[in-house]
Amino acid sequence: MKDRHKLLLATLAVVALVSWLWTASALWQHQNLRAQLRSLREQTSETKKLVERAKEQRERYEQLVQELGKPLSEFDPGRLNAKLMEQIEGALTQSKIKAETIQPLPWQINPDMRAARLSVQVTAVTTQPTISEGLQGLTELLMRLRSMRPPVLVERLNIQAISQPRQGLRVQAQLVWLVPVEDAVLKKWAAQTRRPTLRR
Amino acid sequence: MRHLFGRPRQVIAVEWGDGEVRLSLPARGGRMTATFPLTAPPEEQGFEVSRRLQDLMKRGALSAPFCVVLPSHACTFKLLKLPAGDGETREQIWRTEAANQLGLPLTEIELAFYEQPEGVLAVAVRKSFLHTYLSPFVQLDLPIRWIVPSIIGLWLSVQKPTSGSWGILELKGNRERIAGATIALGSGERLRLVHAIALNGNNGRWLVGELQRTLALYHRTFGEPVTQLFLVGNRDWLEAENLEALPPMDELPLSADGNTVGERVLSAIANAIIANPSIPSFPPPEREPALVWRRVEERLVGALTVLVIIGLIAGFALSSRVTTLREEVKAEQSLLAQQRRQLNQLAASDFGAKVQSLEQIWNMAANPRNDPLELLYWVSKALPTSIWVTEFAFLRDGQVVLRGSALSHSAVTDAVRTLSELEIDKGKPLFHEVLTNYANARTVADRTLIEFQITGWLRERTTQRQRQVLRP
Repeated sequence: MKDRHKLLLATLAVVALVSWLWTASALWQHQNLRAQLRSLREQTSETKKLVERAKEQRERYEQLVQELGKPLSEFDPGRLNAKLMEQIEGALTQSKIKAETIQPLPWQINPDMRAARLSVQVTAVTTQPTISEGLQGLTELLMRLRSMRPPVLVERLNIQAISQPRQGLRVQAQLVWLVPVEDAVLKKWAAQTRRPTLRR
Repeated sequence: MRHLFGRPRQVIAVEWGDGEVRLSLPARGGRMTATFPLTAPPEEQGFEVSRRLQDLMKRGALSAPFCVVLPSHACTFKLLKLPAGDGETREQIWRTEAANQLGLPLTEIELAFYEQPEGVLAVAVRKSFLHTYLSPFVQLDLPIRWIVPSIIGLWLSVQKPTSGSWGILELKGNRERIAGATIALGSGERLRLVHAIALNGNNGRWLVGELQRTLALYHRTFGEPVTQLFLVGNRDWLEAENLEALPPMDELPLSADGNTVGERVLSAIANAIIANPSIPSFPPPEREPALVWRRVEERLVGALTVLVIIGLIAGFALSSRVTTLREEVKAEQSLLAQQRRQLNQLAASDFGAKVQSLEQIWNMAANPRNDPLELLYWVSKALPTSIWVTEFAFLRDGQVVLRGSALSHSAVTDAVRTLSELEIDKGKPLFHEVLTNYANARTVADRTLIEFQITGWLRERTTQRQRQVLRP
């Protein structure tokens, strides 16, 4: 009877020890996991902020791409120049302005802006019968240039009233097309020239 | 040691003998009393008491400290007239003197002492009796704190004693006959003489004679007669024809709880102990090591069982929490990995740098100061009607040159002023600086016109390095 009592005591002591060791181990794991979870949540929160910021940038990028056009993965200056001249000539014609000369200027690649800079020198005269109508045509031309995508910037503009061969306005302008390009294009041209601003 | 914890709030008083076991237990709002008859033969009544107490213990009714009340007629009382002494030697002197005066060997008796103004009242009881009487309580390892003769307890329970000499007569017996009597005599609170009388087969008449002798002894010794006696017990046990020889005898008023006199006596003694824990008592029995160890074992088993249960519950609770946390960590890791993949994909596209470069292009294109159409609109709005422009130049560095003719110099000055004050946004002038390059008078067909050139520098396009005047 006494031995059974002692056996019961010993068993209980062992079970108590094991159960508390188990509890202590679980508590230790619990603390570790809580610390790990806290750290993970902080990281997740930080990452979430970064992802949100990156998404905002992507959205802004998409908006800008809609406005400025998709960056070119292949840069062909000849074709782009021809397109620019064609578009400008079309705008002049639509505005009833007669182009005298449209001369392409040297193109550049600007790595900071990640864009190719194509420019043309235009000399034209209005064909409207009066100065006032000529001014109207000029306004239409500038509006058309503004609405082109990618937008055409008027870098220089000179408007001069003329009386020969007929009354009108002579317009001299330097028009610039900033065409966004992909990194591949920048890398390609940087490798070719090893200069920050590439010019031909 | 027992006084270290202050005054006890609850006391269980118990007494057995004469075919009964009586208890007075603390209860809500007072005391609860009980009397259990003992049906076993006298030599086996101790076991019956033990069994009865065990039943009560299982119900949890016996948790308070115990006061075991001894039948007074089993004790011997003696007032020792001794001088006052200090603590340790005083107790030794009392013991020696008590043994001498009582004529009993110290090895066979237990002693209790009750200090009185006239001396020390020594109370002796045989160890063999005490062992037998206490065995039911010792076997159950009940917490005995006090072992008090009932007459001492009764004397102390009287709260307002009479001023003269008075006494308490306690009669004990079973339902059939008286077994013993004890008379305690004193003056005021002072207890002077206690005489325990065992009847040993004698009748009530003999008892009355013994009481008369005791009263006479008191009168002789202390020089004053006993004027009042209080009786505890069955008055019928005394033979009626001799009672006139005794002082007036009333029932002892016991205001304590209880259904019978015996129960009220126990409750009164328990109340007296609560009021005065230093009541004279025989030393409580030492706990037997085997019983102590058994009690410790029982408590250990209980404590370990509780520990095991708490440990298991805590373990299960924490383990389940750990499992939940693991799942949460896993989910969080998965979410983090997913977010990182997404971030890597987004970072690989380098939208930040792309947006920055596209923003530059967009700012350049959307800036109204880069738009000659806007400029033409604002300039034409600002110029007075007395001048007309024949040439307009918009240069890359932010220069705007106006050439033309005016009717007067003041018209040119007005034009310069209005151009200087021109604002496209609130508080933001269009031009940083506007100046007249020349304004020359020229007569054509009898009319004098002022030919002029005005140059303005756009506020946000102009740079110091690029400032130059376009000459005609």
